[in-house]
Amino acid sequence: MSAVAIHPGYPLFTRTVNTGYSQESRDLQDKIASVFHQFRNRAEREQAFDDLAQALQQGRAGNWDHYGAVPATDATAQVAYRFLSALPSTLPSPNIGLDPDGEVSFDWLAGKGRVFSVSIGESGRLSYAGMFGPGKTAHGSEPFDDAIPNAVIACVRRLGFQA
Amino acid sequence: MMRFLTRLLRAFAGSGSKPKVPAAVGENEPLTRYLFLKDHVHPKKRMVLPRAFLPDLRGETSICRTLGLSENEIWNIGKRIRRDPVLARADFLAATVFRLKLRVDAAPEKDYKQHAVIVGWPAEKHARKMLAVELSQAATLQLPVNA
Repeated sequence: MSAVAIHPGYPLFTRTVNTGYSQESRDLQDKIASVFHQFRNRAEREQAFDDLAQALQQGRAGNWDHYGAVPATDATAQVAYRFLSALPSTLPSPNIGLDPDGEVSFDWLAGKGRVFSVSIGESGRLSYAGMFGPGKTAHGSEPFDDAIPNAVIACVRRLGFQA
Repeated sequence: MMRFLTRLLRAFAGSGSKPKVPAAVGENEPLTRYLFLKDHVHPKKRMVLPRAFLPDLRGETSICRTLGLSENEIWNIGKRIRRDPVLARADFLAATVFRLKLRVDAAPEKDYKQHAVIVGWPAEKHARKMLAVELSQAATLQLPVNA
């Protein structure tokens, strides 16, 4: 395990370029970048949990979309929380919302034509579909047993998000 | 390309008087899906979320036929059909729907002659999601001018 000790008086964000040349300087740069990356990921994941709570709140009543949408049940909420908790921290956090059938959908948008979407409801069955560039698509269904299926992880990685 | 075709069609069709909505939906007809929910739009990335196109429980995705309508008229229909503000629109051509082996049925209502629905969705959720992904990625997000 490594730790970063930062002097409280050190103005952290005043230098954006590492002008050091030594190997130690480069190693330190990588370690600091990794620390900030982890902070950012954790903040994004916490935001995703807030977004999930908000979506479920919105979907408590029936017809929440004015087109006759089904409310999200408590069982769906539980499965959705378990899904989000099981997402590896190395994956970016998804955009979260509700489908008209009351399932929760988790979407990753890498750019126009590069999208991946997974839905889950109280049955615990995941339905996914993605587009990974022109003519490259994938879709299918997998059971969710508190571990994210490899197919889902592979699809998110296929979008090529930059760390 | 889609924007160009849409404008071209409007230029030919929209000439002053109120356009008559043909019964059958033509392949090159411009269509739009009004977006009223925040989680259907990603304004920063200028993208439409796939869930915005998923059908309702009757197996229909409600849309508007916009042939011959000006931008103002299109936005005004969106404002009229719901109390909630229209956050955005997803514009696309009927040809995109037909390519995906879905249908567009005209479903005119008393004060909403341009209303239509996308139908013919498959039974499996993952297959519906795939089509919703395709539609959302073919669509062009339009934000209100004052957004």
